[in-house]
Amino acid sequence: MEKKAQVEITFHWIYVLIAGAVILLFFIGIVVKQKATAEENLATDVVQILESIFTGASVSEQTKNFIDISSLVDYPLYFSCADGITEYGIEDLASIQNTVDTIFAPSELQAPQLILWSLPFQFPFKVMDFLLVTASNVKYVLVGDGVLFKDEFLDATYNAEERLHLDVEEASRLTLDTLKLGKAFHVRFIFLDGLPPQLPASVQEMDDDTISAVVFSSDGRAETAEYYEKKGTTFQKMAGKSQVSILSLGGERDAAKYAAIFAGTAEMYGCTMQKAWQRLGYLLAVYNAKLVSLQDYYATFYEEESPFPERDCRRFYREEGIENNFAALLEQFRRQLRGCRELALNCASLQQTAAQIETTNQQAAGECLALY
Amino acid sequence: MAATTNFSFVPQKKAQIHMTETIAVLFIFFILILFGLIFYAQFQKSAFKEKAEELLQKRATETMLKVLFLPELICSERSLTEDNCFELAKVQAVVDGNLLEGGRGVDTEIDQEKRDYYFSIFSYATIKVQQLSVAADENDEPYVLYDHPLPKFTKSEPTFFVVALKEAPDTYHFASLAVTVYS
Repeated sequence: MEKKAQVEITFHWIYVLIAGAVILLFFIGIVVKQKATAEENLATDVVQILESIFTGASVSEQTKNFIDISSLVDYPLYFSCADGITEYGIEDLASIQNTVDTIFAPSELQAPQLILWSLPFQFPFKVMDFLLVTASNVKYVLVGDGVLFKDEFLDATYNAEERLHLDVEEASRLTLDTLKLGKAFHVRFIFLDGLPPQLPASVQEMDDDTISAVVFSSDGRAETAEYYEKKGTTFQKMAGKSQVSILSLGGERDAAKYAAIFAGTAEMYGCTMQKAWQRLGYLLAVYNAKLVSLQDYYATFYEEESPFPERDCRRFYREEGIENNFAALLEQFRRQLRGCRELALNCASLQQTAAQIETTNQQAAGECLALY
Repeated sequence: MAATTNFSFVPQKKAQIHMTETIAVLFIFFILILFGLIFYAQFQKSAFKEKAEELLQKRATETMLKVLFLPELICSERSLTEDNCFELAKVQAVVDGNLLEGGRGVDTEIDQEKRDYYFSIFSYATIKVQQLSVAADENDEPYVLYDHPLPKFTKSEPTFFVVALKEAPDTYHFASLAVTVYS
């Protein structure tokens, strides 16, 4: 009887231990699951907040936003664009896709501070705001002697308050080898007068991933940007697509050109620009409708043929008006845009028509109602 | 014989009591777990509801912001744009051509693409502009720029903003911009 009781007590304790272990395991499982879920939720929240910040920043024209993301410094943010869809997020945790906003960013960022810069893209009327994304630990080195754009870019990125300006440095081919780059996460060289024959000595020891370059060149009519990456001790063209055309009407704060500096790859630039062309197509429909209302307005305003055709505002809006009238130009623009959306190589023709629309608009604004 | 029966009955009864006790403990344990689960589910439900409301409000603000700076509507003079101002000619063009909802073109493929494009900007929402100038007739219909309510929506969040409506270079009217989002 005593032996039986002893066995029973032993079994009782074994039973208690097993039950306790099962209950403990159950709660440990819940805690582990909750931790994973919380991390995933946090990443999703962060990406959603990023999306809101990007939305706010992209519509606030000509503004720079400095976002403190020091709590995310251990998580690399990535940006990519393929088939007209931009994807960004925290690597392996959460991401978001965007088919509308034009976001130009390096492929990867890991920094305590994110910098968002919104610039309006005018072609020739405002199409949308380009959002240029970079970080406090990304360094831009402008190389090009006597190029006006260098001073303009330095002026645009400078802020008297140190924490509110981008890390941009100017250099000449002579000073490239002695450049002090500090602890930059990434260094982007911007060569305005051609690629140097050799990789600067100051970066030869740095990791390949941390160095890239964009080389601007022009044949007098169109400007191109070519993307390079460091491979050992040389600059090599980026794999895949490496060259893009910069289509813009020039001027200060040229969004299309600035975007080429901030885009990580030619692929990202080309893909994001396709979004801008898509929006331009939709805007053309609005301006076409506005043109019709201007034609109607002037038709009732004049009622009959003007005795002074050289002062007749209708000449800007009607097919039978001046050579570069809005009706003909918008139709030409629409056709060219359709071609551009089918094949990116066709986009080059847009530039000349945009410039003509701009000229006609300036002429019209002087004496009549402008189109935009 | 009777003594033998009594001898085997006592531990059986004891074991039965013991088993009943174990079952009672297990029952109470599962009842407690059930209470815990019900409490957790209720908490999650209200947290989810709160989150959904928060998201709806966030979407309302974001949509309003997007509309206020929409190049299809904003006033522009050469390369300059005017804040919180819509051009009447553009507003009318958008309404007449139904441009934010795919238009009324013959090329249905492009229309669908355009509809999808603006849907990815505004999602389920209604955007209206109502002219407020003194001269305006009280019965004036608002300009409905985008009307895409969620079928069988449970909640809507309207947001209002006052904008200028530019009719001609120097002629402006007050207008109310109403953006309603649905969930």
